[in-house]
Amino acid sequence: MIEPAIEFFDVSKAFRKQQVLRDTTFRVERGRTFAFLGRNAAGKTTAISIMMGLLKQDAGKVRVLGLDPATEHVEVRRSVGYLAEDQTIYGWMRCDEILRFMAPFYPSWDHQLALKYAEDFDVPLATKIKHLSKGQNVRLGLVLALAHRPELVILDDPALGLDPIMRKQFNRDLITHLQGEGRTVFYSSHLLYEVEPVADEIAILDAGRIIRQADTEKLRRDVKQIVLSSDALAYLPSELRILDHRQDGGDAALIVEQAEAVEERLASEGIEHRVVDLNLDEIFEAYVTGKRTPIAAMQRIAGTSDSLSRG
Amino acid sequence: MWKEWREQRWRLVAIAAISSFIALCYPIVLINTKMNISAIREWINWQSVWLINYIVLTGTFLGMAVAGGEASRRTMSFLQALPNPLWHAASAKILLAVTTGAIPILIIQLLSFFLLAWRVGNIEDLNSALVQISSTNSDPFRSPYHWFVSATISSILGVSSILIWMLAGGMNRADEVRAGAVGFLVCIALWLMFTLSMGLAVKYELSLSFLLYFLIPALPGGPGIIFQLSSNSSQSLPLSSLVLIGLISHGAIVAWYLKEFGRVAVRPKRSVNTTSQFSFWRSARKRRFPSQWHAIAWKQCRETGPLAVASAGAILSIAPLAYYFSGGDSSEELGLILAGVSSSVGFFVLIVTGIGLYIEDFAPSLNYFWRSRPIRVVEWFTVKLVTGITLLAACFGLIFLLAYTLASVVFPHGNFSAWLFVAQVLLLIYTLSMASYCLLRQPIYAAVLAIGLFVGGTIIFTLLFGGDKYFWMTIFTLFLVQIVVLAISYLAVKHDLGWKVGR
Repeated sequence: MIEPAIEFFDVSKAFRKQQVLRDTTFRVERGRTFAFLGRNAAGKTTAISIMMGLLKQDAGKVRVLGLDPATEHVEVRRSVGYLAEDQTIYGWMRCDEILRFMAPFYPSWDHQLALKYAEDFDVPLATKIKHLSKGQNVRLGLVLALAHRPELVILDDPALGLDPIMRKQFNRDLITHLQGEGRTVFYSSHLLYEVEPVADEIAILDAGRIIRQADTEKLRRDVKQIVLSSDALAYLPSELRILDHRQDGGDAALIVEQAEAVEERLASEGIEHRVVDLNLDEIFEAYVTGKRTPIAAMQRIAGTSDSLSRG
Repeated sequence: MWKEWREQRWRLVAIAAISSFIALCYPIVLINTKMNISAIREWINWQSVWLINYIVLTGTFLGMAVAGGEASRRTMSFLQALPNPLWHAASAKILLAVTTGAIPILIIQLLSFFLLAWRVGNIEDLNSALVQISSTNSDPFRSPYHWFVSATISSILGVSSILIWMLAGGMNRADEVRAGAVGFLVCIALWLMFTLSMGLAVKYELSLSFLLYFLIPALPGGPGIIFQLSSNSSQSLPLSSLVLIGLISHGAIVAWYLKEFGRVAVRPKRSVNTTSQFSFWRSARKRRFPSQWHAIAWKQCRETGPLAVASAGAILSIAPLAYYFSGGDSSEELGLILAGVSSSVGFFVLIVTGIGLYIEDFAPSLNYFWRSRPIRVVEWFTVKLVTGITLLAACFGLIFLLAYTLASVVFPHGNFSAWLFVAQVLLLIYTLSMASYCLLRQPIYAAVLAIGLFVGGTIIFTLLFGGDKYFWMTIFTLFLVQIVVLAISYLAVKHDLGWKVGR
């Protein structure tokens, strides 16, 4: 059996009294592009630091390419290409010097490939790093992350600080390139429109917990907004999970999971409703900031449950 | 003022604590000694030497921390965006820096005075002892309390003057180290030019030398020197003119600092191509380093090398000048001057390079960069340390070799143990500075701690176990301390343990 690229099982991490990760569990299969989404301070960078062996979890099990990063961190880092959030590199070195400098630390470093990537990504090799623009700096970071042909590439908010055009180029060209080479990409971000076109799978991290993990397409199919009359709320199954709701006059707009089942139920009851497809931004917002009111409570608020039971 | 106070208060506590500890090392060791005139004289001499060191070290390190602090923490743009003039912030900085430099002097002097009075018996006894000293002194005291008062005032003036020069010289630099280097170079260059001019004047036009004296209050630390000279009753100086020159010159520097502080042009990032003209060099730059050791050693050479070479160059320039103007006429004298200059510059360089060994690696963003690479910390630590030491040993070793060749008769011949002792002491200064920075992650605190530990530890150990019969015990203790310091540094690097981690 092929081991997953990354495996987090019940991982917890606290900094003094601040609990950052709580029983976090997820799995990234090899060859997939995995988007790790969360708001600022959700625990994304902490999780990545644990993967890289920079921090040790308080509890739980972590495996990266079958290795334990806490004890085999050098081996993990040799097999992983990593680009940190807002990465700074020694400013006094020239771009070609940092490539020469990093090469011996990676047994699989391909220096010709590094030079080729530098050329492809328009990295000025004879320039000091302190003179690089933000975009050039990120591209140099990518060359360093990819030149040893890593099996797994971890990108922590890599496009942070880039202008919109560069962000698009970055996502379109780079991720597609990595996907084409069959590498596993772990992409952490809080900008959903960036990852939507490229991610195979998504995990949403909120307050240190994974609140949803699914294939991107499945998530889009599964989570939808349903607009229906408030009176019709009574026909919804009580176990239905509502992620967010909005009341607009006599209508209720609900963002629900298992949208297909709900649609079927409403159709079978002959209830008039409208289904709105959501983009990843809206799905994410519903998960992390949505008002999760149980269906029974909503029914009570709308007064439909009582009237129906009386009826 | 509140912000500056918050930034300076722990520096003040650290400087006051460490400097008081060093100042009181000698008196504490004398706790069981009978306080006769000779002991009091020794005490006063010790205090004077420490005050001079305090002025130079605190002026330099505190000056570099204040001058480069905002830029180093990248908070300058925040200050620039505040809706009040930048000179408000600059004046708060200068005021708090001077206060931080001055308060420890007051504490040291008051503690010493009362400790001395307690040891002698009472204030009256101390007065009479000081009067007795003054009667046999070439620099007599005008009143019983005279030495304490004049030393306190001149030290405060001296440290304030150096701080003002350091702040002005290192203003708007990218970080503390650059601010310190530029500020220190400004101070050294001014004194060098003054010494050179004075030497030439004495040699060729004596009347000019009298005029040059009027420049002293304008120089870094000059007001303190002038006050000390003027408090000596045997000297008759045109005090009002000198005070005026000191006030005008330092006032002008302060005004310039207030005007220029924070005026940093934001330069657009440009790709500056530095391609070599030589094809051999171009192709060499395309080759990777053959091993991790090569890569780490190369990086360390690039980081420590410039300072080591510049220091060696400065020593080799200063020593012949000092030899020429001191009227030296033998190679022994030149050798001794060379050894003397390299020892005093070397002490400073060892501390700066020791701190500098990890100053860049521990910058918050870079700390994450190299730690996230497949680098074995033990290799990183060892190669960096060995390369740093080798570079310094090569630069200073060559100078010492030259000094030894020139003045071989005055250096210990075939005395292996003496050389072993010197090497161990130099190594300890370097590793102590490195360990202090690894633990504290702030250059000023690290410098204060390293100097405090080294000077204080050395004084106590020397006074308790001084003498030839304890020589091998000293060597063994130094070796043991070295091991402990290295182990602490290694653990701090490996586990990223530091007081100001992520500041």
